[in-house]
Formats: sequence, structure tokens, C-alpha cells
Amino acid sequence: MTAPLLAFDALHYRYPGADTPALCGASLEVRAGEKIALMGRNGSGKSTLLLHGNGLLRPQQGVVRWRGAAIGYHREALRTLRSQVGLIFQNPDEQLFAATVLQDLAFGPLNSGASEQEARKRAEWAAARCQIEHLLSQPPHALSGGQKLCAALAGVLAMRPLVLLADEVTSGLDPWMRRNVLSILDDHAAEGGSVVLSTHELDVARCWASKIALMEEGRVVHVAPPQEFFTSSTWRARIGADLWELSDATPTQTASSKT
Amino acid sequence: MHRLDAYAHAGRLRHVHPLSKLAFALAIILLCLILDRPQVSAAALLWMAGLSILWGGATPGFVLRLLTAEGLFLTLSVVAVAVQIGPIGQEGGWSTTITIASPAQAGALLLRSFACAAAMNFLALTTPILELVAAVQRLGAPTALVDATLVMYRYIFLLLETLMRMQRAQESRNGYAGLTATLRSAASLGGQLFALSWRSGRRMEMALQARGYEGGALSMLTPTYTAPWSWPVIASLVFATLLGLARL
Repeated sequence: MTAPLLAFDALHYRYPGADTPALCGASLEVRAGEKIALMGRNGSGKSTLLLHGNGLLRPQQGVVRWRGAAIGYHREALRTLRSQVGLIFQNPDEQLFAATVLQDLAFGPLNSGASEQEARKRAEWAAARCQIEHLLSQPPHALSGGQKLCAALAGVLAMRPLVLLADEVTSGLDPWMRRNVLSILDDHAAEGGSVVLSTHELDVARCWASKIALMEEGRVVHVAPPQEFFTSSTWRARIGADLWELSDATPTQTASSKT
Repeated sequence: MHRLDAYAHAGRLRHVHPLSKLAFALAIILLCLILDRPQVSAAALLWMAGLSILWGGATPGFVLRLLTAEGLFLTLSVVAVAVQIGPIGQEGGWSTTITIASPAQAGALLLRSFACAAAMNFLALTTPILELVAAVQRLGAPTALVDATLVMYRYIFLLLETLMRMQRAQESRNGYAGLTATLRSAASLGGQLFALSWRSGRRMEMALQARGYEGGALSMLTPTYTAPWSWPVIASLVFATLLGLARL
């Protein structure tokens, strides 16, 4: 087994003023080529864990490791980490800020020290990968919801990160757009990168992920291939897959629908 | 606002340097003010509206609506020039005076104001405001001010969308069914928008940091502009027309 690129080691975190901790000993390892679906109920700590991966939150206990070494939280260390670990936010409106899509896509590379020419090249490459080349001169507010998501994704891809952390980016998308986004994430993993996608979508977890990591009350309680989660009655229940047996749709129809 | 912005991004003059368009519009305004001839103002108005439509790509209806909205304010302002109201001697009371020359003066002033407004409309319809702001930065405007304008402009659209969504949600539950409900809904809408913009601002800051922002000026590409050959030709033609009319 290869060494993990990114590792969360027994992280504890409580937001200021909160009664309960958001993370309570959360551990997870992310290796090259892996596609991990991070599942769990609302409030189980998925987004908080992802924010730690990019160094936006600093654990109160525990360590985040990049290629085996504990990450530092000074400017230089964070700059290196953020060039390697990209974070895509759930709401693209909170990520897109620039006057045009091209400017927004070039923002990350410029911050990482790329020259203007290189940043422009990377922005155009990322736009091509996300099929939004025709939108480069548009302002973000003129885009549709799906286009905004693609622009946000391209903005992170332009930084050429190895690990992509995606916070519920497929929720609320139509099946075609969702397939498009998942195929971009697939390409990233196929090129040796890794993806951690937090999601509530059972079909995404089952059909797209190579592993599912289940979070409960601030901990990662189980990491296993999707088959294990969907065949074991215990784990099916804990990811909420058994709830579908109560509905009119048969479980096979629901779970095997292609994304 | 959405339409104005859409025209500015889609028009054929989008790739002309913003400072060039700004200088053109300001020159038209200056000519109208200095030459002070109704025929010059009328020609400038026609040129600016025509260029906004034919070259900028705006629909005639939209240009007309913009001018009508501006015209309401302008007309109200020039009424004071046409009609003088003042006290009558020591006996008390007020008089309304219209001289032979005052309606003509008011008309000329109105025409000149319309021409200036049309020049500004031309600039707004052909130049995305943020490109103009960025260009002004290169003339020495403070970076912090320019960055704040950039983020605020983006936020105006986000808040407008949120405002419309929230207002629709309130309406669907009879939030504006009577005066009391309207006041209550409007007040809570204002409060919620304030809280929401604060939370959104915090999340946007995190998103910027996630892409390597470390404070200070926002890293941006230097835009490139390519003016079509026809731009200086048309601009010269406009100036020539106005100067020629001034000699008549």
C-alpha cells in the first residue's frame, strides 16, 4: 500500500461558542488515485474535516500530515499546502469573486507564484478541462448554477493540486451536470491525484467512489469499499441506505442508477 | 443592472481599452458644455444613443428606457430655469415668472444634459464597470479601494439574488398582504440580509485563503485590449460632426 498523501490524525475541533465539538478524534488517510466519498449525517463534521485539509482551520488536538510530515501554519507552509490540496466549496457563489471567469481562474496560480503568462495558460487549461472555455470573458454573476460550479472547480484545478477536497459539490445538480463534474474528478484521480468528496448521495457513493468514509459525531467510524457498505445491513443502515427500502422505488433501482 | 452589465460584457466595443472609452465619453461631455450649442447637444445625443445601439449592441428600447429614467430627473431640474418663483415686493405673496427667453434656456440646458447622460450611458453600456475600475487603478487609484470595489460589485449581484429569493419566499406566505405584514417582512428582510452578507463575507474570505490569498492586494491578470480599426475612425467622425456643427 502506498504512503498517504494527506492524513488527518485524531483531529479535535470545537467552533468558538459551540456546545459540542465538530471533530472528536477524526482520522482519515488519502492516497494517490483514491476517490473517497465522505458520508455522514448533517453536522457529523464532514465540512470541518475538509477545512482542516486545506489549513483553513487548525486542529485543537491532533495533526494534519502532508506526505508524512505535520503541516505548519506559517505563511510559507500554508502556501505550499494550498498549492497541493485544493478545496472546492459547496456554494460556488462564495468562491467566485473576480470580474471575469478568466480572472477568477488565474487567481490561485498567481497566488502560488506563477507568472501572468503561466497563470493565464493554467486558467485556460482548467477551463478547457471543465468545458467552460466559452465563458472565460463572462462575469460570474452571468453564469448558471452548474456553470458557476464548473468555474469554481476550474479555479481550484488551475492550481494543479494533487488532492481535491470537494464539499458537497454534486448536490443540487441535474444528472448531466453531475456526471460532468464526476468525470472531471475521475480524470483528476486517473492522473494520480486523489479526491475526497463529501456527499449525501448514495448513488454517487456507490458508483463513483473507490472508498466510503463514514463520519459520525466528529469521528470517521469506518472506511471501506462501497460494496462493503452496501452489502452489510449494519453499514447500510448507518449510511441511510436502508431507508430506501421503505419507499416505492426498489433498492436496486435507486442504488444502481448510473451517475 | 443585470442588463446593463450584460450589454457591457457582450458588446462589440468590449475589447477597446476602457480608458479610451472613458476619455471619449468625457470629451463628448466637455464639447457639449464648452460649445454650448443646441445643435451640438442634439448631434451628441443622437451619436451616443446610435453608437450604444449599433455598436454597443443595446436594444433601442433599453437605451430609450435609460434616457427616460434620467430624463425624469433632468426635466424636474430644469423646470426651475424655465419658471421663476419669488416673493412680491413688501406686500407679501408669491409670483410665478416666465420670460420669453427662459423656456428656450431650459430647453437648451435639458438637451445638453441629455447629451451628457447619453455619453455616460454609452460608457456604461460598452464597458464593464470593473474593467473601468481596474484601468483607473493603473492611473494611480489606491489598490485597496479598487479591490474593495471589485468585491462589493460582485456582492451587489449576490445580495440582489438573495433579496429576490427571500422576498419571494415571504410573499408566498402572505408576507406583503397588508401594511403591518409589509413593514414586518421588510424589516426582517433587512436584518436577515445584513446577517447573511456578514456570513457570506466570512465564507468568501475563507475561499480566497483556500486559493492562497494571504492578505494585501488581490492578484489579477493584466487585461489585454485590442481596438478595432473602426474605433478611432468613428470617434474622429463624432468629434468632427460636433465641431462642424458648432461653427454653423
